[in-house]
Amino acid sequence: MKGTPVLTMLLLVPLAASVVVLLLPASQAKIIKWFTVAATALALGVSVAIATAFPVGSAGMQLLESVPWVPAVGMAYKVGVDGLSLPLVLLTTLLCFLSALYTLRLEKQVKVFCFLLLLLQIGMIGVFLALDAVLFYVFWELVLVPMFFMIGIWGGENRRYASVKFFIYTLIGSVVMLLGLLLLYFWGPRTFDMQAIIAWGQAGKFTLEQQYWIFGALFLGFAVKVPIFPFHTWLPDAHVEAPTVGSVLLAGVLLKMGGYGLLRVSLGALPQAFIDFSPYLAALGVIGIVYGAAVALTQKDLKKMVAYSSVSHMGFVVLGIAAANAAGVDGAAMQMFTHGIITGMLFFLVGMIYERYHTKEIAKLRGVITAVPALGVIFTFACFASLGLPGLAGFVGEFTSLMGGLQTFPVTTAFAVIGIVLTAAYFLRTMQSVVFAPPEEDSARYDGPKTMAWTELAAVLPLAVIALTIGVFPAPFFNLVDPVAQALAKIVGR
Amino acid sequence: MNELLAFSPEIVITLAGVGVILFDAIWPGRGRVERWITLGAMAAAAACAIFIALTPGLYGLYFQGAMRVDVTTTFARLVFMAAGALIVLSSWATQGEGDTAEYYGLLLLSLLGESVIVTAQTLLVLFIGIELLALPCYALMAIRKHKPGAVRAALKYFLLGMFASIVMLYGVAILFGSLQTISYANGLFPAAGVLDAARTSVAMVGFLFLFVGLGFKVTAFPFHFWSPDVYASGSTPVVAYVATVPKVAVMLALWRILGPGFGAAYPLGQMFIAVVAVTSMVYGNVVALLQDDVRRMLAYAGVANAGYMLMAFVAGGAASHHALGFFLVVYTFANLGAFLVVMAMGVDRSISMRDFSGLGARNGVLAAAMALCLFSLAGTPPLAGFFGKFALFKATVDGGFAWLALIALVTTVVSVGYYLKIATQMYGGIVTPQEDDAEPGRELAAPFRVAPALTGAILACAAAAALLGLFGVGLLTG
Repeated sequence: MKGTPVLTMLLLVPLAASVVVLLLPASQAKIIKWFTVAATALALGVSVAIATAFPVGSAGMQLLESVPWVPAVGMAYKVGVDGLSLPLVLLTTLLCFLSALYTLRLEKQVKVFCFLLLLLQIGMIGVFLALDAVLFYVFWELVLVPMFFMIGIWGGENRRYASVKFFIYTLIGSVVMLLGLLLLYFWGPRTFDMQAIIAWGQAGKFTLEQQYWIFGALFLGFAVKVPIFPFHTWLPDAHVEAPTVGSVLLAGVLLKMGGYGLLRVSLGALPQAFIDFSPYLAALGVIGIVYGAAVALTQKDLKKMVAYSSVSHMGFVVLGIAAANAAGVDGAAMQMFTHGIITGMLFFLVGMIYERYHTKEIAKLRGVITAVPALGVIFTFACFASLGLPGLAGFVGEFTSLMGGLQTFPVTTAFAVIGIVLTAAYFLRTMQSVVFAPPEEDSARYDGPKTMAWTELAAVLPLAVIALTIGVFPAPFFNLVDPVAQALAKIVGR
Repeated sequence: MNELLAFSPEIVITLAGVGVILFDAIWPGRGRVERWITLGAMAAAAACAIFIALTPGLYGLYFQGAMRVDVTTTFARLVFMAAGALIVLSSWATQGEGDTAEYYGLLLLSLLGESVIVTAQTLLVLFIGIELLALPCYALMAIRKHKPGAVRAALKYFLLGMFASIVMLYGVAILFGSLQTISYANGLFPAAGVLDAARTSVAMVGFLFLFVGLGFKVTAFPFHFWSPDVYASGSTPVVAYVATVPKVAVMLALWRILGPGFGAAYPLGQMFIAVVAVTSMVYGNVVALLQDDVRRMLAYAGVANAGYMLMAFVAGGAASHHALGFFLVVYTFANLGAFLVVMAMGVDRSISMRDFSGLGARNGVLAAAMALCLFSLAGTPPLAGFFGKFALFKATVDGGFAWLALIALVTTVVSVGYYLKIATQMYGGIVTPQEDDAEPGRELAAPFRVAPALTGAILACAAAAALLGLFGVGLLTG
């Protein structure tokens, strides 16, 4: 496999597939759907092949590919993968494949949807692979467009408001981020090569003032995406209106782009600004954990509750990143991955419940376990995984992040415990009423078949298996991430 | 003989311009033939320009050093002919009958004026070029007489334009008094230290007056004041033309006059241009944010873009020259594309942000083209506008004006705001036409059709605005 441009192939698979989808006639919905499944399966296969060949234990970039693009200004097509980005790439290809499977159930505007799904996949993979600042930005923006349309076309009642809010928030965030990237260029080594920029930053060649400015600009872009409190307000609206697949990919992958950017660029290239800002970042993370959980507890809408639980869970990511020691970064990386798996699963399940009951109101949903036993069981499993039950994946990420946080910011981190209690509270309450409580008079009715369709099972079961596997045996994941985490921690001396 | 060859594009355009008008006098009412003559002349002129570029020995000074044919000339001729052809295509449906001779004839003559502006090497030839450009435009502005406000817009444009020309002519006189030449074949302003202090200060006064006249054409703040009113009520294809092509011509001429070393040699003039650039960027972008009429918004965006272009003159140097050239090309197509979309929305009425509501569903092609043009103007990678702005910013930073580039960067972020306003109107809550569940308040969702020629012109603009960055790297590096 040496010398094969596998990373480019990974980008070309969805690109070629999206062109084919465009050329297929819209009336052939079935062919288009199955073709999309095949294409995303191929991408998943390529990413798994990359993972199996990956030299676990190395901290450096692997499989580097670089082609000059505009040499006059130091712009290149440059991609690479390391222990930090590989899990996120795997997460992307997996969730895209499962989304494609779930899309087999879609009836409306299939062609456009499949096209957007593949376009989204290119952007998401590209963000994690790009090692050129302009390329990174291009992929970052590319993600925005299909997600905007997914919400805007297949969304719920309030889709106009939600999609526009999503677009404006993230676009303004990313434009300011572009400002930061340009400052990295002008004050830095006069190239967009991210490795060169990071090397420049680690050599201490940015003055403190420059670091603060750039950090601020980049932070806005990343913070909106994560989202870090108080930039999170677009998220619940977007999630509530988004179609199921949109929600899965939004929570599963898009939010991770922010965390990834913080680790890769902010921490990597601006160590001193990062150190100075990290106490506040940790505080924002903890506020996110507690606030997200508290707001989730008061939600009446099941999907909105899961959305706010995302704010809470991403708070652990922010806390781990702010701690910036090996455990913190390990935990943040783990939490990003497991949140993608578990929340992806939860959004699939909420979509399935909605399809059956035509409501997302918690007060009206009762007794899912008797109506559709399998759905009730898997939903219970997902809730337990999400609230951080030891033995399941959610616990590993949260626990490791907290460990990291305690080492650097013991007092701040202590407050995060409130969030854990609240999280247990809202998930238990939800399970108790939605899954187990007997139906009441005004509850929504569902009298359809008691089984789940195979497409539904195929979408969630792999995620459940992974959540369990990582929960009991997280070592391989940590072996992959830890060298990078150690290296990042060393930059800031923690 | 060489003169005839070297200026064959201008000769072709002149013959066609006069010919169209004569043709109409002899065989009236054959608008279609006139249209083809116009397009053919443009194609022939472009072919001649390429031929001149490829034939060795034709580049050089002509007519006792009054005009110059060189790479810049070729570049400008090609841009002008392409833009002119796009304007003709865009008005294919709206200018088919009646007034055609005037329309096409005047358009050709103003294109000739632009060519003269770029080839001129003395201030008086430049002045002739500017008048040759402006006079047809004044008339063209009112060519759709029944359009409310068209005549008023033309009159305003005419009076203010004449005023600016007179100020400029006065500046030329003062410059002649001070420099004792009006030729800028070797740069108008001598190197630093050649002029004594008194002559320098007189020369600076002359420069200011000259700049007023040129600033009027490129709508730099504070000489832009005519543009929002005129753009809002003039005939749209003409506005699209006036808002774009003359700016390219005048910017290129200004570069010929000032040269790469003006800023370094004359700090006062440099500071003046810098102040105009900054105020244009800040004022243009902020006021554009407040507009509801799309043509007014584009007018203020044009003020801001003039500011970005002027940065090249502050920094000077060869890198600025290349950056300016690339920026101008991208600006031409992106701006033309945006105006043509506005034209497609309605020729004879004012277009507000609301008019773009749901365009993404009503005419996906038009909306996508508009989005590409706008985001290219905003400077979003990987669209061409990003590379244009980036090259300008880089040249400015390298020229030692990091503060200027920083202001430009920040105002660019502001500019995203108003481009975003249109984009969200077009795509917010998009409903696809096939969708059968009709919602209340969705009566606008009916498909919106546009003449094929206009669509073609818009698509060409959008493609250029999007892709020149990826394939036009040669232009960027010179």
